[in-house]
Amino acid sequence: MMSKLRAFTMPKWGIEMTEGVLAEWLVAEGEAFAKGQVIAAIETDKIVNEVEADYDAVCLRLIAKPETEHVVGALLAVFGEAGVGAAEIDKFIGEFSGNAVDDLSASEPAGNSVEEMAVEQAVAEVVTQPDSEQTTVAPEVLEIPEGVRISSKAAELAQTSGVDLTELSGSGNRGRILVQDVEQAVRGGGLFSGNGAAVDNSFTADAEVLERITPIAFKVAENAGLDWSQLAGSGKNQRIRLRDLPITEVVEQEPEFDLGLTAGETKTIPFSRMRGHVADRLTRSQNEIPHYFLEIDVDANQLVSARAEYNKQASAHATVNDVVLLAVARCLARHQQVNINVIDDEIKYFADVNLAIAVSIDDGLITPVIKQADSLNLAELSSEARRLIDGARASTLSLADYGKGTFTVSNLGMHGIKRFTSIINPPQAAILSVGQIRRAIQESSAGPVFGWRMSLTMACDHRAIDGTIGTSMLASIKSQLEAPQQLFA
Amino acid sequence: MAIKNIREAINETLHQEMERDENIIILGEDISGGAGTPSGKQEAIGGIWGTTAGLLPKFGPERVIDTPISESAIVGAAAGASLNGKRAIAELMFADFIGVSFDQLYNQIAKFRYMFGGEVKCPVVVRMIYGAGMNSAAQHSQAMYSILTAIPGLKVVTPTNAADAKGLLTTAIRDDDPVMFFEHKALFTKKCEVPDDEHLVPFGQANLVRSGDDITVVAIGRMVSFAEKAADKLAEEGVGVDLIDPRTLSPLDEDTIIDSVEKTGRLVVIDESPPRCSIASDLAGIVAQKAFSSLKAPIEQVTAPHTPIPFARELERGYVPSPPLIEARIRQCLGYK
Amino acid sequence: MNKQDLDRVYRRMKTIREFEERLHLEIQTGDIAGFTHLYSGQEASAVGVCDALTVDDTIVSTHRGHGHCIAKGCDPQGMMLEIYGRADGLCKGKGGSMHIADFNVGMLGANGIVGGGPPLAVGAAIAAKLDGKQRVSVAFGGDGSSNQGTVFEAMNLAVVLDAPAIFVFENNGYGEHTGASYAVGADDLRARCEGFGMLALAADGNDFFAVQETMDQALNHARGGKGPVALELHTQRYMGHFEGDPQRYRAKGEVAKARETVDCLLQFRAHKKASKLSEKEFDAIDAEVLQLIDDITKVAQNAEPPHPDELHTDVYVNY
Repeated sequence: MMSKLRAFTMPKWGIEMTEGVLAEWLVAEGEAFAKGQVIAAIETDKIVNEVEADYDAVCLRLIAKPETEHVVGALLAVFGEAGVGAAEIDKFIGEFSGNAVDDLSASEPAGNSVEEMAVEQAVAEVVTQPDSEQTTVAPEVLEIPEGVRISSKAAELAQTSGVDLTELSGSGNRGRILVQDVEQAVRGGGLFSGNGAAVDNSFTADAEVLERITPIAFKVAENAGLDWSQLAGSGKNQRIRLRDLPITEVVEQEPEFDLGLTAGETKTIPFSRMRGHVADRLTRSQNEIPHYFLEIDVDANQLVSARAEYNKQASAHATVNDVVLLAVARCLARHQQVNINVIDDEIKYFADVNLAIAVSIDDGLITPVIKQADSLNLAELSSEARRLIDGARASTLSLADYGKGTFTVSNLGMHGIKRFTSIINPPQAAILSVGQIRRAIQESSAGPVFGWRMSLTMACDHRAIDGTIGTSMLASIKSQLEAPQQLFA
Repeated sequence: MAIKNIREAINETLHQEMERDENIIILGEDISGGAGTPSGKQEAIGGIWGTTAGLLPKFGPERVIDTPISESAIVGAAAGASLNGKRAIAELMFADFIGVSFDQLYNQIAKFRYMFGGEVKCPVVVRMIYGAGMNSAAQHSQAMYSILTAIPGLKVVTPTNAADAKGLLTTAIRDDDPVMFFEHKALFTKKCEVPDDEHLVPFGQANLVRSGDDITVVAIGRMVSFAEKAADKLAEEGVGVDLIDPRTLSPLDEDTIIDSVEKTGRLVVIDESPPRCSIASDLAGIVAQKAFSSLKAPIEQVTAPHTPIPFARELERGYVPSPPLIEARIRQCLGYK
Repeated sequence: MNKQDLDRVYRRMKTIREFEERLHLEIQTGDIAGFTHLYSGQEASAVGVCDALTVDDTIVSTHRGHGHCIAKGCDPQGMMLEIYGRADGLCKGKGGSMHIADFNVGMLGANGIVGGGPPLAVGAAIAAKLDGKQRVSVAFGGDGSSNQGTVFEAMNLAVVLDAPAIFVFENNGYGEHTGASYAVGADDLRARCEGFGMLALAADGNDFFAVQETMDQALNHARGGKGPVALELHTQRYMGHFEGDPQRYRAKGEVAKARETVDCLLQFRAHKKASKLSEKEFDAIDAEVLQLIDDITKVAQNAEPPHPDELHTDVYVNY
């Protein structure tokens, strides 16, 4: 049943009413009224309405004063049974927990404050906008050709970079030139065409498989020979995504070098004979030889396709490194000034090209030598290189295999290294560092194209090899590799 | 497996599913056609697209219901039946007609489960035929899926080949949520191998149509085959394209798209709807937000222009993104430095 | 009707009345959010129609749906919790006053869209027909909804398919804030329905027994496989279109007069067919109902709101 005291609150009329004015009380304190009797007049900005009582009661306390404004739900009066004491009415008023706080000056409900702050912020930004417009005055010097629409920032950039606006097509609304259009003009971006290399675009997998792994991750994993079946997925429904594949973590799974140390422990091991030897030679080289470095990019598109074709035709397994070795060997034959040893104050020239290859082994680095490398064809060189590399790692090479090298090639491309420099291996006077063959955008007459690219870095001993000589050698290697048909003959 | 086109695949699926589950009913305009005509022929046309041919003789007028031209009533009645233990398939002859049934779609069907506190399900499939390319002009050519994709509670499916049409329609019919199933009128004759028996393609699993490392292309509906043509050209030049057909726009296989962009760094989205508030802009927004650091170029959105669909052949050809346009826009994205 | 039946239908009508009258008061405190449309005055219509139905028959309702819900057997406590937006409401607080549903009792949902329900009722009727169990589906609407295209489409389709649907138009004289005499173009709503090619009946919606009698006729027709029926029930709305409607469009004393002269509860108590219940017994029901409403209101006022996570659930069966 209803309690004996009842709140009479500011009613809500219509959809938008938030407050109203109590215009007039039509009932007095202590007066009894009947359901349907008009008890008050309430006014909103839209209407004045008489309020009928919803029940029979006695008016016990009029709280709101006539002609005062109150929010919807505010306590205006207390009605109830006759004879209720003042203390009880006070208590009722004190405990009244209507939805509204009747203080029109108070801030809005907390729920709105965040939105309001955002709005205020936005307004503030709009207000400050004209200022920033004024500070970025359109460049006065740059003439904007007639009919060209351009943003002021883009115009500024065009001016500083000297881009011809008449040549530019804009990507903005109705051809308006934007900053990105000018940037592209500066960087030489444009329509792209490819290089004709073979593309493997096949893809098939079962729906059940693809519920557990995205097709992109699946193909990458398959190509890498990765077992993904036990991996935890971070995608929707724990689906395995590209980022979940342990592509870079494979190396870290098992420590490559393990002394079985526990936390806090250290252990000192003297250099092995080989490490001492390597340390000594490289330190001397670094300290005594005035190194300089030359770097060049090689367009490897033909190299990639010709090698693939060669391996297919000859059922061979020539590596990119084999082809590079052969190119270097043939160039050394033509650049005798690089195919040398430097001993004390003398330069020693060689009839033979004895090409050293840097091979990393368990405890150091060794450089077995391909003798008379320039006289070999690709198949011969490839098998000799394979024999030396395998032999070095298995410690089965003889002393003869380490003979007097005249030049060294070091290749870290297969490990994903883009480019690097090496320390000359004395008494030799130069060493070539071979980087990864990678996908890159290249210039071409038809505009930028995608293609394979490789970076070569050659370190030279300036005492014996001048910059022009080194440059000429490196340029020869580049042209050999970019037109590699002879290498595969 | 046999070679079938999308029309045959859909028809076969409807037959197989109605055979399997007698709770399935289908209703729409001219589903069989001919009712109340002087010829008295019951099976006059089997649907103007031929997708419902043979259903009436096999399953009878109780389950194969020709309706008046009353899209609100068609969709609403399908929903009402589906709330009462049936699985109703409603057909809208043209997707453009969602306009005259829209209240039932977005205020009723989409919201029942949520409004009613998760206590009910409404396994209705609304099949609708869409797309430009047949000079059907402004009110019979539109791809309305972006509007429906925007509505929580609906699932949206856009098959692009016959095998997927069968697999996705089967899944749609068996799904417990309302599914908006879009059939492109210019793809009905597109053929491929289709499994003869039951075939289901799960929702929310994109199809990697082809794989490549240089650029990601996401295409919707008919644009998938157009993108393939462009990708063929680019493959000759050594460019590898990850071509992704989302298959279902809601739920969306966001993971596959983001994975691909993380790999390639370049994204082209292709859709035959106008550009604003579209699937293309939606996908671009998702990728810009979730793969921003992987992007090497601005996202290209290849869409129809912000115009109604024109009638004249020449104009309509200019409206729908063409394979050469798609190719050029892919090149533009690749050429960005 | 025996005494038990009379008790049941009177109790239902009284429950609707007190449920709505209490809401009318509680809404003014600001504790109840959103729009609420009250059914006071129309109880004989809802109960007259629904009491004739079985639990397997279905109804679809309107924005003014509390009466239909209670009449069809929805739990008033669950409804009150729902209207207060509580976790234990019939729809977990996700639907509110305009979207109360309970499929367990064949209540397929109130509806916030005028004219939204009738197409759904036709679908339910198609399902009933297929199941071959003589179930019917009732679409409640008002004089306002009678002008919606969706309703025209639904009525025509029901006729075409011989669907066992019953379209009940509660003509309370007002579509929102506009008079039916203005907005309904036809002079006679019943006759307009007849024009669709279906059996169309009319009755005094304030007289429970008149509604009951007409409904029996409608059910015989629909259950007998003879197709849909339309029912126009003349009644009146005691409250505004929605709570907070200042109702300046109504005649002075119009509602007060209706409450005195044609009130369905008063008519029921005075009706000779209800004479098996004594005044004392009626009063006892009144007291019990008042107590019930007071109890369920207090429970609802003190109940917990939904957990914030509920925002994201129940959108799909599976996504």
